[in-house]
Amino acid sequence: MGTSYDGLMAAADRIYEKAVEEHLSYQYGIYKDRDGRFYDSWNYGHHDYYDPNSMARQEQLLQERVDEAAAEFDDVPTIFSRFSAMPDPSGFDGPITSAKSAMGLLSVGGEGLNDPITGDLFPFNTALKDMTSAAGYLEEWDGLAMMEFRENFINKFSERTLNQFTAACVVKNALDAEKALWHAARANICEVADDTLAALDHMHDCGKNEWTTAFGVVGAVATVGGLLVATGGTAAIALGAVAAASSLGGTVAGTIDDPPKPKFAGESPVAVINQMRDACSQLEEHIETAETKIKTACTNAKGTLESRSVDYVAPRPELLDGAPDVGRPDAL
Amino acid sequence: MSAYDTFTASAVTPDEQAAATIAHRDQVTVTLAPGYFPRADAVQLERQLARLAKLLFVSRMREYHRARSRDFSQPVLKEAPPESREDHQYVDARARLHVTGGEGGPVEVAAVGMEQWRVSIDRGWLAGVDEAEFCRAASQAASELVRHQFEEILKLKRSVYAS
Repeated sequence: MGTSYDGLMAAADRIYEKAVEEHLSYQYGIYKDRDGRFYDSWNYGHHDYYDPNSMARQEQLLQERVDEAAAEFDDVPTIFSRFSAMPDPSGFDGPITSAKSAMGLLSVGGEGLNDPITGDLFPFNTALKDMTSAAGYLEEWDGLAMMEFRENFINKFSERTLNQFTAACVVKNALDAEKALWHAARANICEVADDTLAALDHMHDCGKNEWTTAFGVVGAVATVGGLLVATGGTAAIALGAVAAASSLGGTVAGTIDDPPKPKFAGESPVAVINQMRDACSQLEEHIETAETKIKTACTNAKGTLESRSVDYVAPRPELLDGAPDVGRPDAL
Repeated sequence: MSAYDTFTASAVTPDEQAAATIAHRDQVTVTLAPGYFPRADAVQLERQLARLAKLLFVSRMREYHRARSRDFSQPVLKEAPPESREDHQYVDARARLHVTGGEGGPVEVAAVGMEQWRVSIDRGWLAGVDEAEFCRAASQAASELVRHQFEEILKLKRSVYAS
């Protein structure tokens, strides 16, 4: 088996055809001959020779049963088509790379910074030291403007840059989480298709036809807590985040939900396809839950950033407002 | 093609005088060790085939679970225990299922619940055949029994799990 995501709709067609054929043979003893035409094996050749309409009625009944089987399972391709346009996980690679670049540019501090979620090291961006070393150039500048500049820009630069790094970390890991979610979702729907085909194959053997499906999409996204943002002297506040569960390895802890592994069973084509319908419904719910987890974390983080913007971006200097004290000129 | 369609299973009697293989779901082939057929009488052959049938069934179920493991990409070591009322009904009825192969022929095989086995060989026929003909008849009877088992299982599942 091993259906690939690209082959999902072809697998859906195989499931539909197999379910129809198995249903017809199971219920009515109707099989396909070598030319692909259905024939009634239970009544083959058994018709009333004295009734000229007997064969026609048999043919009509055969066709009605074939149509009934086709109608019983004609939603199968439609169900799988709902999963056939899921985002390509590799489409998140570009934005992830951009977010990592931003983290690299914001890596302040002599030793560089570690992504607190994954533990990945981002080397110190040496260009940033020009700001912290600027204090030396200000020795000949005095006055209120100089004091405010030093207080609001120089002294708080490292702290704000670190907070921006943390914010970029939230974005980058949210993108990682999205990528992991869709990778797992694609794998899960392929597994549902494979399990359904296998169940249709194994239906008639002596044993119970039971199988389990692990919904890995549930465990793909981790909720992360404890990402602290400095707030200018008052207590730090936590920024909500999510991450790809497989990437956790940093200093903050993540919560990963255990993937559910429901059991399915079916001893007839109708029962097997009903279980398939149930599995697809469950998968849709789990995907939506994981998406909501990411959306909630990002919305909360955005809200925190917007309400505490001063922790990330220095306030606009008041140099041109009123008559600021820009200091005295040097003595000539 | 699923592993279920392609798996094979084999068995050999403890004294290594008789062996059998099942392939393609219901094709059984019986063979005897060189020199065994001329010196074995009908009773010995019946006992060997009955023993062999039971061993082949056990081997077949082991390979079947391996095929299920491959097809479902998850480990399956044995049948799941019955849970629902229908499961218990099915398992109880299956344990009493009586199937046969080769009825009316020179070699007849019968089983109840695939646990109790009986083989009957026509003595008059046996006296006039060679080893190849004997093995052919035994193989055919065994294959027919497997097909009969599948048919009865299908009827049983249809009646118990009607949906």
